[in-house]
Amino acid sequence: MKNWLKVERAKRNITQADLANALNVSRQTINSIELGKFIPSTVLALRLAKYFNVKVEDIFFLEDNEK
Amino acid sequence: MTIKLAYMTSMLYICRNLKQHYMKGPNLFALNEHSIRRTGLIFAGIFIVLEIIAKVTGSIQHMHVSLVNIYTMLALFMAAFSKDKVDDERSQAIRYFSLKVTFKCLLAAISINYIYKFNFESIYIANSSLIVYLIIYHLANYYNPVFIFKEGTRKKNWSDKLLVIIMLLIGTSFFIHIVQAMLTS
Repeated sequence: MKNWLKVERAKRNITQADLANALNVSRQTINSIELGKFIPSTVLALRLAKYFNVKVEDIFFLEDNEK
Repeated sequence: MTIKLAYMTSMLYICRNLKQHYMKGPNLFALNEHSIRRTGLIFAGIFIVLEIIAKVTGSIQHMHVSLVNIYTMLALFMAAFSKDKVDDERSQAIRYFSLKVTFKCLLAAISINYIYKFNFESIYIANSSLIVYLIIYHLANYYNPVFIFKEGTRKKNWSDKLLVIIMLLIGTSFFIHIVQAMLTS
């Protein structure tokens, strides 16, 4: 699974620390999600989508071999 | 008497955590607050230094060394099972990973100690496993390893096959040995 989290963050000019504070997670968590090293739970994915005011599918998407 | 009291204190502390675990819900342990970690680490450091001094100089009696060992364990327990500054789902994944690795290391240490008759004191094994847990947890937190669950994509690698072959060989040799012993008797 990949994501556009970094892109969404860049669009709004938000740092990883700001996003982490807003969602009450650690900065390392945001970093590892962006790097694709950690798959967030459904709750966190929904919270991220809500924060950016987009759908979950707009941030997270499956790779071709995962479909 | 003092050692028994120290044991009781440490066991009471651990039992308090277990009690909270059952009361709060599906947690492995009721984790301490983040500030407890620093306290635990400081005390563990002090007790470890005390023990090294005791071992090197031989100035402290055996009873006191045992007491220091128990309190080291307690301090390490406090440090190991306390929350992160921001304790989120990634921290829990890392904690689970660290516990798995530590458990395997602990089993290996106990097995080696038993097989080769090293006669290491069990308190040292307990303390070292807690230290291993702390090191793995902090390394994993810092180096950000992969925590991705991929369903059905894992292939059996050569190490799995090798382990199965070794276990089969050991099992077969045990079986042959038992049969031979039965036949000769």
